[in-house]
Amino acid sequence: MKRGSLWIALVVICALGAGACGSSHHHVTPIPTNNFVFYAAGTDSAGNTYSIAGTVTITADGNNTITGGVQDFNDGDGLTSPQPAGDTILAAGSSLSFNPDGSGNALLTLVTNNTEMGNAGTETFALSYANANHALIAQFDDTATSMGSFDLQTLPSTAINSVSFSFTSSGVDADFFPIAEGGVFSLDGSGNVTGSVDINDGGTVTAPGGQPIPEGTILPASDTFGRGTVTGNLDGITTVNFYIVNSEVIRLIDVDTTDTAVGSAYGQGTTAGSFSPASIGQSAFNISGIDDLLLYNGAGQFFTTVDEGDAKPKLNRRPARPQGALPVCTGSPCVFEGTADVNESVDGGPIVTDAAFDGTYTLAGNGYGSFTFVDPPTDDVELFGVYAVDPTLNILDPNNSATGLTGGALIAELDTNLVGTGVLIPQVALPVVTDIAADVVFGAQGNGDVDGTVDEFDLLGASTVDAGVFSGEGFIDDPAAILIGSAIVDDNSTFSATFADDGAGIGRYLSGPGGFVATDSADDVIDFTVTAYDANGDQLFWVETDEDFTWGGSIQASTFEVPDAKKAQAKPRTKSK
Amino acid sequence: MKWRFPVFGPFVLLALSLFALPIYAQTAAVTTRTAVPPRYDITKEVKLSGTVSNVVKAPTREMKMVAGSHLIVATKSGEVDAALGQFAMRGKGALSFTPGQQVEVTGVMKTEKGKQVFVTRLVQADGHTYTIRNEHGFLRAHQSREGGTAASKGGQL
Repeated sequence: MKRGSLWIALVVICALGAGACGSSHHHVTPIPTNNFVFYAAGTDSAGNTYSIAGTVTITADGNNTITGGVQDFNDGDGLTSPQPAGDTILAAGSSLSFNPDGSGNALLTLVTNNTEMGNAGTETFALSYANANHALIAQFDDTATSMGSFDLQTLPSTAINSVSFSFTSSGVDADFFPIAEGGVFSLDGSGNVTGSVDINDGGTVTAPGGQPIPEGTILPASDTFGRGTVTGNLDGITTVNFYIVNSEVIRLIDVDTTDTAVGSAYGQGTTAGSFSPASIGQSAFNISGIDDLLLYNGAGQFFTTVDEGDAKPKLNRRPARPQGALPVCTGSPCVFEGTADVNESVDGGPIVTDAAFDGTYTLAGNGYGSFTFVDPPTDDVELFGVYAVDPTLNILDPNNSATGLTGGALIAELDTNLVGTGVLIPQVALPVVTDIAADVVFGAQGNGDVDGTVDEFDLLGASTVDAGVFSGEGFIDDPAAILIGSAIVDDNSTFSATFADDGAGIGRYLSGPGGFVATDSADDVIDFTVTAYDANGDQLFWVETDEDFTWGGSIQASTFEVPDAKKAQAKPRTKSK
Repeated sequence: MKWRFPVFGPFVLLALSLFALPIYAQTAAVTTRTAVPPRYDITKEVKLSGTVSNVVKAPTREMKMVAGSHLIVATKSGEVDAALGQFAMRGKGALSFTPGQQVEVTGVMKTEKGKQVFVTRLVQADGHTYTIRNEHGFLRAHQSREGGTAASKGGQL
């Protein structure tokens, strides 16, 4: 779907609805609606890490009228939506307003019945639509900033059961230390949950193999918003609400009043039970620390193969792209070799770029596995828990199962010094910068350390990309005044960069001279040094590698297009200027 | 990340160095790796007692201190920069200290940003123990929680 096609689709739906109205003179025909599930994690104005998830109902008549919804907000520190009801999203005052320029950028205003939320109950979110069914979302007001996903909901006709999932979540525990979890579980015909979970609670990690999900944990049927509460708990600790996106994707949010976390469960499809190390081949990945607490980001790519016991790469020299057919590990032991950029500087750690790493990995038939680093990209990295998903499921955009965009695994960092989560997705054999989609949306969740104060900022928007030249528009959300010393909550910012391939044929692109430039509407100019790792031209991960600042996130192909005027405004500035 | 003030250009260019690297075979032999050294080594913890001589809630960049708040503690062996991290004196339940206050700090002495800094895990003052970090060095995000499993209640001293 290209520029404006959402509107066309909505007009068609409206026209169909009008036809129905015309044949029913004395009856009111309900306006068709779509439910969208959203989730995000970030930092509120009190400095609290918070999680939010919900369902919002939007008319499909072309007016994008919000008719209701429900949400759960949780900062684990006194502000948790009342349970079990959550917050009601009210129709009155709520709105979804698209930028008329066709870029797919939009502002979502949700008025809730909980005056503790946002500004007296009103929350504002920035959205950058990748297509009519998926957007990146960030809270965009002076009460909080965050990053997450916004996806069309398709409730299954029957309760989800007899299927298997992989999941991860992250947040803070009851003592306000960072926590990350990952695991696999299966549902029987009654929704009973069995499986295992790895937990990294402030550097204390469960034993290899994880711990069993407590007996008696049940995923019950959801309500009409796709919302429900897990009976028992997946990790033996927290009460979790869930929001069903579709039969294979569930958002999870911790609703305890003393801790907070948010995450996702992804189906394993028909591959459940038959995963093997060969299920993970050449991949791109990202990993990030618990927002506002650990403050690190990493992105990279790797190859997998069988350990043949020779030609060991030298430490700090990255592997080259394999020649010929891509290897996968069909024997044992299985190894991975790759390249990453990691920034731990906000937390006082190192920054590494173009760093080689290698190690061994396992993946069991139930999709549960691990990556053990031998030569890590930084000394802090030792062990990833890895949880495979349905090879036909798109982790970043669950409603888009186009060939080449699907499969991969979730990651939980299980290290003493780092607590975080991420994803890996298959990488094409030879990514090149000219194959990046012509139109993309992007999200970057960051933290900066300025004069001893560390806080979050987020970047979100839409861009065109022409041979690596990035010209975009969108949002800078920096309510904590980290970037320029005064707060920026700006929906008319521009972004530019010229990404260049690093020449190794592994899809590693550098932001080049001038960096990735964000310019707000007051003409404040901020530049970042960025490395992007390309999975397939339509999905990339990126990481900022500057000292004392770091962000990470994704770039995803879009069916919308930034108009020419904005492109010109966002052209990369050259040295001569 | 650099902020480029629009009036005072010129723009600062940042560039990554690119390296052409040799190609070698994809296969790898794997050896075991020694345990990751903890960033916060609890076996090297010490307790220091002294008097707060200065409280730095938010150091300026010129101070070249690690992020977050600091207590400058006068001990028998000299002044110690006790780093409390970015959360202890911030937000709901922020801790408050005053010069002249007697404190005991538990932590590890490290060199960061070229300076000796005492990475503080616990602060004891006025009969309370405040947890700043856990045993792995992770900062506690807030001090507002009353009760819980922390060493003692957080809050105002």
